Amino acid sequence: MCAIIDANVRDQVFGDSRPKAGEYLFDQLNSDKKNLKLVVGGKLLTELSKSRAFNTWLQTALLFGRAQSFSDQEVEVVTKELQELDACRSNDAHVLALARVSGARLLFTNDQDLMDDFRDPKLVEGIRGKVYTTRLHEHVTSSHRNLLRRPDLCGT
Amino acid sequence: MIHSLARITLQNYRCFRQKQSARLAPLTLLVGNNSTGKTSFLALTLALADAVSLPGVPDFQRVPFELGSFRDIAHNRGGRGGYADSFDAGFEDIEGNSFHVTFENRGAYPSPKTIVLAREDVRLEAQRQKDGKQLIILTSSTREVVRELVDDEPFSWNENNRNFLSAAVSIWEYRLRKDGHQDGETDENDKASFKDEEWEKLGKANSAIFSFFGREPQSPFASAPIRSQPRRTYDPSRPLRDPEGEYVPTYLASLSHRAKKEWAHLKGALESFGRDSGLFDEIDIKLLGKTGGSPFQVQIRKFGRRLKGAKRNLIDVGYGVSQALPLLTELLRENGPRMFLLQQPEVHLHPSAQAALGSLFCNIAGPERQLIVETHSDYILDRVRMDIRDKKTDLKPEDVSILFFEPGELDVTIHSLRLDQEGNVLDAPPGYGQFFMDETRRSIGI
Repeated sequence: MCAIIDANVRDQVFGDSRPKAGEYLFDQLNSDKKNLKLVVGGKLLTELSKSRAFNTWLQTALLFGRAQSFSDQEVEVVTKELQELDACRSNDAHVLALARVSGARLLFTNDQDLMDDFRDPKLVEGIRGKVYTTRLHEHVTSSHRNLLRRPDLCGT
Repeated sequence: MIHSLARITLQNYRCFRQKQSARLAPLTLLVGNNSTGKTSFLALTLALADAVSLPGVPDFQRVPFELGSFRDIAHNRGGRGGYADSFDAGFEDIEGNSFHVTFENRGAYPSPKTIVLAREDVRLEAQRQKDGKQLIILTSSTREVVRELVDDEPFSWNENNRNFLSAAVSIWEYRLRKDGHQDGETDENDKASFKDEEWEKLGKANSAIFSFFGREPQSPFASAPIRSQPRRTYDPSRPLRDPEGEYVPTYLASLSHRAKKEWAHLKGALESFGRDSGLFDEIDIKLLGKTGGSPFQVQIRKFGRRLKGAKRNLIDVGYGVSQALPLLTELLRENGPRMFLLQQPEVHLHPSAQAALGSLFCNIAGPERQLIVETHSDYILDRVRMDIRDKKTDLKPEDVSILFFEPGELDVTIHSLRLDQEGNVLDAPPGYGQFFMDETRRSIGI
């Protein structure tokens, strides 16, 4: 399963004071039993990389196949295509572009506009995007657990 | 055309119980915890190479691996009857030619019970049955011909001084002569004759496999995990290749004295790696007499920022230099081996030199030179990954295979991991690198 973490919730996963649902996602990314993989690339990677903890984690995760990096140029091209469509509610076309390039269909975000875009089949084709969020519940709910159990969110 | 190996299969061998197939590439890195069978995997590769290219039974006791007797080699689950009574090993090259051997216990040592050479639909098998009967079986899509060997026939795959195909074919021809045929004469109606297309396919399979493993000085090089200690002064001796690299100083001295052109090439390549890795800038041989037979010393120089500084004896510089030198010499010499089986090439090397080794492997591996490297070095892995991503090597992502040896209850599973063009590691099972993930988590304090 492939996940994207939006920059605005980065510290909920890699920061010092994390909500339980953020901790849970981090635990699953580090688990020796789960096949959850973080995908990164393009402008989102630049945004995430402002965290030292994230950078340190990413280097190890890339080496051991827990994270997958996608070409900045490829993500940039798709970002421009999405911007030209002028159909995004959010200003995060680069996140949607990464989803399209990587096939990841699980997104951790608290941005409602981005959630709507991510679930919009005109913007993110194939399997419908699923959103992991702490907007309503910061503790771990069955919805959080169920999302991270799904094996089909690496898309095409 | 030389075809490198694409796959190794094994079953009931050492810690590997299940039938497994591992993908090989021009550069294959073996990773995993201690005692998970990485060295055994290298030993099996060498034994298969020997089975193809050397007369007689493959020697599992050959240095540097020394695996012991059949009971040490066959899978053992403990208790009565825990030993497997045979084990299988085989490989396939990139053209689909394949060679498989089933070993059984004969006189306490592994001896081939069946040997199979195959290409496409044609398969030639030599088989020793329980009652002592020996069969040679030729199978194609249209027929199966079985020939039983009788006592006076000169075929025995553990004594014959030829490779498998030539031994099997000579028997075949011997039988034909006994049956009244002349050398080279074939009879299309005689079902015991090789047909042209069968002969052609088997011949191609044999020559592809045989030419890859080659003969000295190109036969596979298997390094020992620890290389020989440096000495202040060496006495010239006959430079016979050995896994610990004891011969290397003599080989270098011999080249520098007798083959100036080859020495210039090798010296240049060694110094280039020396600079990339930070190990040294210059290497030389200092003869302590006027003739080539004089004692000599190996000298190393590391330049300062402005001054070149003094040459120092190999024994007086970091141990990493003398540990790396045997491997570097084999990797960089002209007309070198086509297959390298390297154990822990990173020992005693600083991370920067380990990373440089990763780049060197990427530059040396290719269709005609296959490297299988057992390593615990993240720096090597990471450098290979990055060189692929940044296109600093001619290797493509599919030219690299990472074999992860994962221990289970009583046996080990080999996972074949791939790289993509971004250098991502694909197909990693959940537990891969768990120790490092846990350490990183602790390091970032969350």
